[in-house]
Amino acid sequence: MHTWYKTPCTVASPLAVRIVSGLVAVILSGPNALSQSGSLKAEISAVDLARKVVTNELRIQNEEESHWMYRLEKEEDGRKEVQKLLETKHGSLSQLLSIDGHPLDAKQLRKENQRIERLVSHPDEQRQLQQASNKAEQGARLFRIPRRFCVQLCQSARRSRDTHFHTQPGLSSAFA
Amino acid sequence: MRVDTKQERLVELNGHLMEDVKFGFGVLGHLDRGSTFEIGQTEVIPGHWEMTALHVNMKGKALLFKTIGVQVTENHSDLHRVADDLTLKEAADILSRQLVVANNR
Repeated sequence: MHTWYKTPCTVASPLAVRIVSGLVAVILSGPNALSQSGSLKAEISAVDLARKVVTNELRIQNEEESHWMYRLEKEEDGRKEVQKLLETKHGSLSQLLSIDGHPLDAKQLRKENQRIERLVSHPDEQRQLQQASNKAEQGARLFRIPRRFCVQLCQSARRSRDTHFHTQPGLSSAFA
Repeated sequence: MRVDTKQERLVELNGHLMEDVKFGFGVLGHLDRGSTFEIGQTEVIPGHWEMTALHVNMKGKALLFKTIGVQVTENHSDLHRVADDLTLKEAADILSRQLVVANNR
């Protein structure tokens, strides 16, 4: 599951992801992105760590090819859905399990099965969905933050006198 | 932003808009100040991280009039790695079996 949004029939929130990814860059690259107090050394450490993490996530995302099955609980605009998703190299398949806490009735189940059968028997359609999704997600992945982001982040940190950075066992919070 | 320093992985990222974000000088649209987002990753098996949580709450306008409202919450759980060479047909069969199990619970 190296990408978060694979096909329109699975986790279909590309708009949300586009918005989030854009905002991540906007917010973190701003001069006020870093919060209160701390030393210059800590600033640089925090920025270095953030840069390492982003670089690492980018590298892993590009290299990762494993496939996963998982349960997705999704609430969008007041509608709750539970799905089972399964990824393959040909795209992902989802099976709707419930809507607003209610299991599918016979009619909904039939419709869902027909949708899956259509995707399986028409791999071209699935491929087109995949391509459309891939296009939509271009630039949308959270970690696909351009190098410029890191540079801006560093510059912001150097300008800022208010960087906050502290460590916990195993975990660190930066820019809290 | 919370990271695992040992593995250099992102654990959690959240934020909110401190100011309105305008597109095309506001003509194309904008996102309202106060909009929020949150993303979480979990180490599902040793050394392997996956996104397990997403929360987005954004409001704004597109092309001056159309109201944009994105409220999405996602939680991913019960992750299992599957064979890399699964076909769509095999995937459909597995999902079908999962549905039978779920219905029998």
